[in-house]
Amino acid sequence: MQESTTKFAAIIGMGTRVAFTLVIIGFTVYLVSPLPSRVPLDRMQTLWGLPLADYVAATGIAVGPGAWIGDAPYADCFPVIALAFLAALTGVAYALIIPSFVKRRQTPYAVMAVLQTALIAAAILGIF
Amino acid sequence: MDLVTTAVNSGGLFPWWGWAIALTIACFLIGIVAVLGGVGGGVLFVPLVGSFFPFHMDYVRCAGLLIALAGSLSASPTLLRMKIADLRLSIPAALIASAGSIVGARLGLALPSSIVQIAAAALMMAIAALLYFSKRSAFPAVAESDGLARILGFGGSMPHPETGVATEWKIKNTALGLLSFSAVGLMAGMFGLGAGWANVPALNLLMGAPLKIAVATSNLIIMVSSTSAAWVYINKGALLPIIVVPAVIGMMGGTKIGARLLGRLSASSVRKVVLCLLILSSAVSFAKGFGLLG
Repeated sequence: MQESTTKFAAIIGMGTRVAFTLVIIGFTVYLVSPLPSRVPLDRMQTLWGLPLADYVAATGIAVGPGAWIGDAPYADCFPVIALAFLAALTGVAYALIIPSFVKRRQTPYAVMAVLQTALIAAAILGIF
Repeated sequence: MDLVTTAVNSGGLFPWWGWAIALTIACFLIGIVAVLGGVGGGVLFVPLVGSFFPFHMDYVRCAGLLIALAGSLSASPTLLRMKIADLRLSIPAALIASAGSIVGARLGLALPSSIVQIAAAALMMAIAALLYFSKRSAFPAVAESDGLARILGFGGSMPHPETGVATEWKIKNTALGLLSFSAVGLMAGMFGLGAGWANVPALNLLMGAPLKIAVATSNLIIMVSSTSAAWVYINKGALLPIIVVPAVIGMMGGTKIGARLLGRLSASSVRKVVLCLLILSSAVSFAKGFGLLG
């Protein structure tokens, strides 16, 4: 388990540093770039009190798996992409430690890591 | 009071950037209090921001999950390298909790806001009671690991908090303990909480893990359950960067300062502050849920 733990810690540590940097860059782009936003910041105040369904209807933004990638030229998509990277990190780390479990013949943990990766992938793909 | 409530509810008290700054400052303070009070930031963030900021609970819950995720991602590598967090113990628990959290997130988005608000208020009261009454055990005495714990290879060795001698720790009630994480995950996903308040008692009191191991391993479980539930919210469009990013920045800064202040302030006084904040935000959530605050 030591090999998997070291690998898992290294992936999470490195990934988190990259993700936080991307979040700060993405948010700065959102606040200061001349790029248009799907929802302008000065409209947010009238929208952030609405329930989600009403917010989506009022803004007409695309929702669903990967919708935020398709909208990438808009300024408000950059922090969303960075946060999505942060939110995908755990799934990536689980996927990358599966070979360590297989190599050490830790079958129950290999199976659980595969299931966990599949569950997170399904959540990312919007299957739930 | 009515004017203030109306203005706050519509967000008209400040311009958008004023709310973003207020949120950063509030999360900075929540981060300090959360560390000193020994609770996760999310457990204070969701009720307080949901009660006192003009944002709808759908976005607050999504932000709560991302805050919990960001906090656990930052802490986990160090806890794993120090061999306090136990990856082996976390994997089955996290798998069960993450399945529960997806169901919880779906439920949270499907149920009427007032119901979720009232349920959240009730949960906050329960958490306050749990924090007040539960006794944690630094190194529970477990005579023998149960069968499932032996199959999964749970257990290890760490210095005993009283003697300092390396002592083996074992796990009991494995099946029941792991099963309890489905309920913990469900609540985490539904209310946007990290759920360390439930993970730690489950690992420590129910399964017999030493307190340090339980607290650190809880971080690994939060990392996974928050990830799974957060994606349900993200794919539905509930991720508003103008709420999430200031909240994450404020909370990360606050927890760093809180960690430095740890030991300088009385833990029991801060714990009382945490309890008061939970009870206050629970009362406001009840009032909002029953439509008493518009």
